[in-house]
Amino acid sequence: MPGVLTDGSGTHKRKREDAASKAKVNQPRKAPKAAAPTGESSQEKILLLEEQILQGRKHYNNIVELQSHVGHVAKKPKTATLAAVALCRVFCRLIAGEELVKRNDVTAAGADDQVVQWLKARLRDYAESLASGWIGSPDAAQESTALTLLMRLVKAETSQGARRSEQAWRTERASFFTLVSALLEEKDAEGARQEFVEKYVEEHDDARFYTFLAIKQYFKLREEEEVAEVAVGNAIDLLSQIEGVPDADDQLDDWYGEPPEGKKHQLRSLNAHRRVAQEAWLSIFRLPLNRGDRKSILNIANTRILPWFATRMELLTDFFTDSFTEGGSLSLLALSSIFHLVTKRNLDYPDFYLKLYSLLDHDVLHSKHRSRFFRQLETFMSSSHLPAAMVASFVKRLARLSLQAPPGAIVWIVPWTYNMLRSHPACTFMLHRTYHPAHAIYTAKNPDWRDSGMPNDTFSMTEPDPNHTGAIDSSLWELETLQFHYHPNVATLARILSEQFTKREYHLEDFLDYNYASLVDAELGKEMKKTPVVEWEIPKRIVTEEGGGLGQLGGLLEQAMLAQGGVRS
Amino acid sequence: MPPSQLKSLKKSLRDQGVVGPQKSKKEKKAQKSSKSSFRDRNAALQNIRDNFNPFELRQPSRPAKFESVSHASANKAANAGRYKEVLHRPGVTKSAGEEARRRQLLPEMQRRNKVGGLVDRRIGEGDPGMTPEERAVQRFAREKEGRKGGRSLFDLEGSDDDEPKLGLTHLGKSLNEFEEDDFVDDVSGGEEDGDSEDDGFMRRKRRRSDEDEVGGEQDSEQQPERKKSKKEVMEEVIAKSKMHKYERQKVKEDDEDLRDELDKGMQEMLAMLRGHKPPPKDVQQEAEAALANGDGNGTQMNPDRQRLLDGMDRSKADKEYEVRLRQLAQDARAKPSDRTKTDEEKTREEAERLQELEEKRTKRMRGEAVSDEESADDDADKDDEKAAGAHDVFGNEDLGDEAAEFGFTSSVPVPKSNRPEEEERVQHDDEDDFDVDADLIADESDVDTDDESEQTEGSGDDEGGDNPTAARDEEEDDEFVKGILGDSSTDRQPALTGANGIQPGKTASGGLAFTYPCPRSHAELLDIMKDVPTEQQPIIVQRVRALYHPSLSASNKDSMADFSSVLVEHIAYLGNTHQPLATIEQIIRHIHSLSRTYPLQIGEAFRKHLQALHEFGKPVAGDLVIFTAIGSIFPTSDHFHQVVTPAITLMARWLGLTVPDTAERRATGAFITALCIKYQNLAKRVVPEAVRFTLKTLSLGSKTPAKEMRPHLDNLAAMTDLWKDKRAFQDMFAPFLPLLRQNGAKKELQHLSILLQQAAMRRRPLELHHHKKQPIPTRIPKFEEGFNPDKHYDPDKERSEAAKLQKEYKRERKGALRELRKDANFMAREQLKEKREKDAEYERKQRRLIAEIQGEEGRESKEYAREKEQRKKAKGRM
Repeated sequence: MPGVLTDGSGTHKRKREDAASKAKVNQPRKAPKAAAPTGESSQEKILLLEEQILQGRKHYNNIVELQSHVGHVAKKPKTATLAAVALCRVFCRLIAGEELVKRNDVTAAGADDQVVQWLKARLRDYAESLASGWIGSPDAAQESTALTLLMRLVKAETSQGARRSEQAWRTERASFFTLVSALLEEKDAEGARQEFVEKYVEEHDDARFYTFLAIKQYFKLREEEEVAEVAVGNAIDLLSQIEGVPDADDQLDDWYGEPPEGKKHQLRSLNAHRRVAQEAWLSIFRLPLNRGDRKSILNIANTRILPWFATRMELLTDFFTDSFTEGGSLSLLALSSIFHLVTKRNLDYPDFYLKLYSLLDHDVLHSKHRSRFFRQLETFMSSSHLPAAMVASFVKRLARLSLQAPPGAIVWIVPWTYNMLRSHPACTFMLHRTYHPAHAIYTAKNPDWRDSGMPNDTFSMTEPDPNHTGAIDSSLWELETLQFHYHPNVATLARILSEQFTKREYHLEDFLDYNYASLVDAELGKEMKKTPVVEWEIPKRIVTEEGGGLGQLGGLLEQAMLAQGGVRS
Repeated sequence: MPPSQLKSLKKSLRDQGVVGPQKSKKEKKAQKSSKSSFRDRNAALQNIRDNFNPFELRQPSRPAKFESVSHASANKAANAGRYKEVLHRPGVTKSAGEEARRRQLLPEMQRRNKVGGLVDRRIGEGDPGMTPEERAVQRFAREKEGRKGGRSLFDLEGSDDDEPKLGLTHLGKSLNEFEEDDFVDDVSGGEEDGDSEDDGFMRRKRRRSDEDEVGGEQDSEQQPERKKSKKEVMEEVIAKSKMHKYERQKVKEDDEDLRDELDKGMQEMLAMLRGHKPPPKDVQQEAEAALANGDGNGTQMNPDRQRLLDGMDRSKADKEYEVRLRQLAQDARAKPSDRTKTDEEKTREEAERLQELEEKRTKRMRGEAVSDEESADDDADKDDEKAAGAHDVFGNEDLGDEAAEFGFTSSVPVPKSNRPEEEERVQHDDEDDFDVDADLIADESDVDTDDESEQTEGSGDDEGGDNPTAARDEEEDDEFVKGILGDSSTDRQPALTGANGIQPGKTASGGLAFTYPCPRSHAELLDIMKDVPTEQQPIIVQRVRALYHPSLSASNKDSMADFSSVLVEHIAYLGNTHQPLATIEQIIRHIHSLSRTYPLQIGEAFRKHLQALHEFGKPVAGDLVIFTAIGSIFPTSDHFHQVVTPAITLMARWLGLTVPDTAERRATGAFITALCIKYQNLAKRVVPEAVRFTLKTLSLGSKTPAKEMRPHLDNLAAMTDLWKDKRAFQDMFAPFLPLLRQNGAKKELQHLSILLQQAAMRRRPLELHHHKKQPIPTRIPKFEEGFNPDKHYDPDKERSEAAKLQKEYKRERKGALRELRKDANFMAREQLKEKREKDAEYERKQRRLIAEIQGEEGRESKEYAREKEQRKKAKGRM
């Protein structure tokens, strides 16, 4: 069909002239920069090849040559870049010229079809080589170039009519999917991912939509195979960077490719956007996640994930519950996310305090994230509508734990207990319970308490449900004992519990960040103002015994000295 | 137009019933019979009079502004005393004041600037109520009376009582009058009886009778009992006390006389006691001597003086005098020597001392301030805290770090260097400390303050213990220092002369030198000790301490301070190099003994070491030695101690953060736990980390050999014994039961279960809040029953009193000003009057004179004219 051909050649010509003039304009600018004559010549060669391609089909084999240049990126980066840019231009024009589309007419059967197939294969080669070779490379400029080129290809692909462009977004053989999977698979592509999100995903609603879709598809395709851990991490990284959740349908009006046709198109519906985002996240949740991944997900859950889950929170809650069982700081993070859901999204989660209570053990008082835990605990327990029995259980359990806790934890527990008792006056009986004949602990539980004491504490440390531990009938002997703590400041602080409760509440933030180091520093950092008191009696023996041997302490000291070694390195 | 005055008068008279139509006789009779009618009539007339002169009465200056039905006004009638509406009569008061002034001020005014004068004191003179006849009669009677006594007119002494005194005067006033108080002259009040003249007279009379009373009592007996004035009472008291004083003096003098007499006989008496007769006194010689000296007292004269008198060389005598004087000045004053104490006293003192120390320790353990100064300081701190905290009680604003109230400070140290006076005060604290337990601080500090001269005499007497309070420490010190100090003084000689630059002598017993340079850094010490076997290092320390004993030279104090911190470093070093513990112990004891003198330096050295350990994080063998040393040198029971607290915190940190997974850690943990228990031996404070560590170790169970477990089981037993009285004992140690069972430690298991059972018996619900109920601050307005707007309801008593006083002062001041103004007006008026009178007098006189002159002149001119006429006539005639 000559008419068509001439048409096509005409457009080709015009484009070629454009390209040529562009090349001409570019050349003098680039010439001084190119230092090596070989570089100069290869550049010219590339330009020449590009021009030839655009001249007609017979030069299409030049694509292969250019592609080989692109492949040699490690050796000659400059040439490769040039070749890649040239190829991109070539493909863009070819796509625009609909060279990559099968003709429907019968005449142009066999050969033409083959050419289209061949070109498509080359295009995919090109996209894949860019995606896998260039993205994730240590050279940031190269990465950025690849990203830009690929996105230009995407632009070209998605700008050719509604149906075809949607296909170009969706199919896994298209450049966009190739790009997204590269971004997910490459280890060191943080820069590219960030750029991708910033420049395209955040800016354009269709890009975001199809990114979510691509991620979901990516994991779906690889469901059977083993998904690389890197991909999971990268996916989380990528998704966590997506910030802007649209608020309403009419905010969806930034399009990268062809604008969707019709009002009813799913790209124009916020719910569709939400659903695709949810599915992307859910596809990640379904994967075997390691602790780090979970942690990073939980960290961003409230800010980045929750906005997408306007409707199906139970799916998210399941994930949180799963994370809770992992233990450690993850449980805490999961709990705080659940708490957020409960308070902000009206989630019904009856086991919340049960779970929280189960977190209270020795480890949490010694762990690194103690202060974070305490901060969260303060938030969780700040409601004045909590049942007194439950509050009492928490207080009592922490008091019991504080018997083996470091001073830094005690320093927080005591004022917290004060605040709790102050806001739940029913619990103050734990500090002050005078004899009352009607009370169960005097009648039912310990009928002859006057003679045999109260051997059984009503509080049960093993009971998992904070509502049934019986703590409210117990007393806080532990905190009373801590008034005799070896550290003078801790002991003084513990004494606030036996003084009159005149203060409204303690500002707990002030008591959070104490540990051994800060306690010792506070002590040794000061100058000695007064003369230290000296023991007035000089003992005859310290570590030795009368007979000449070592005493008990001396023996231990000798052993310990041997164990400890003498060099402070 | 209102009716005329006359008409209205008539009308009101008629209205009141004073005048009226003729009444019948009956009516008149009835009226007369009732006595009150007359009074009524008078009252009615007074009322009419008042009404007709509206200026006679004045309305209250500040009439009620508003009609009010207050309680006060309702009660006005009932209790008029509280707030009465006075009807002022300005006319009356004015004339009364005028009258009073005329009576008092006027004579004064007239007498002003006049000196002398005559007072007519004749009987009845100036008394208008006396007729001249009466006067004459009285005067005559007086005269007769005077004659009868036969006294002369000029007899001042025996003048009779009634006679006005003709004493000495000044400016026309009797001298006696000046002594009297001035209040009689008060002019303002019209209500005074005004007879000041008489008053003064009465007073004078009274005083004279007082004098009589003091002189002899006979008068007062006759007179009736009269209430004494305050002045009289005071005078009486003074007189009595004077008398007593005089009597005492007299008795004393008598005693002295007696004593003198005894003294005189003393010599003889002594001789008699001794059993031999005194040498016969050469009475004659004595008499001669007395005669020669020309001394009436009979005392012997100083021979020197005698010589001087005899004519010795003057300058020589002076010189000798000087010398003697100096000797006298330098003579040591006699000191009272201490009585040797009996054994009982000694033990009692010792017991008291121990008790006192124990009290102090307990106080420190409870965290109370020991010395006064500290407590003041602490109180101030607490006040500050309270002030800061008080704000927070109901106000929710956050005033800084609440944790800081409990001593939790951020780790950034506050630089204290810019507080010189603080430093100074701290120094003072030290001094005080030395004062307080002078007997505890080693003798060095006492000796330091002694005179330099003692040093030149050698420390021999120092050793002898002339300072009894330090004697006890001598004994202890002896052990440390005696080796050298006990030696002959020749050995010490170089040290005495010597500064620190002595060469180490290579002499000696056991290859050890006797003299060393004082090591002021650890390197120097190591240099000295390098060839010495460890066992002998304490001997070197001992010798250095003796050589550089602060009593030997002033600079030694600093050297010893450095040396003591070097020793602290050295024990850590010895620990690190695994030297025998016995030696280390010896050196620790040396440090302990030194720490009495240099607590600050040694404390600082320990703290430095702890700081290094804290930064490094992991204790080495030397650190364990340091911990041990701290536990023995410093009182570990204190609530807060600058060295002990960081030390135990560091130990607890190790226990808290270490997992007992290796044998080494278990061994170290066993020791540190044991040391923690030793630290808390007295104070019995809880160390949660120790419990935790032991629990963790024991829960390793059978994986560890029994030998390794043993110390931990012992620690557990010690802990249970230590904390068995704590209320959470069960909660602390119940988790050990299954572990003990598992480890097969039957004895400990039994012990623990018994203790747990006992704890269960004692367990009761907490009752911590037996506080006084706090009153809820009331917001109801304070309602006053029977409120009176004129009264002040100031709850602050002091302020209301002050206001009252202020008001009174103001009122008085105003009154005084008013009176003065009135006085001035009066005086001006009087002066004007006087002047007018004078002028009129002058005028009159002048007119008279002029008239006189004119008359004379007229006469003269008539005379002249007549003369002229006559002459003319004569001429004409001629």
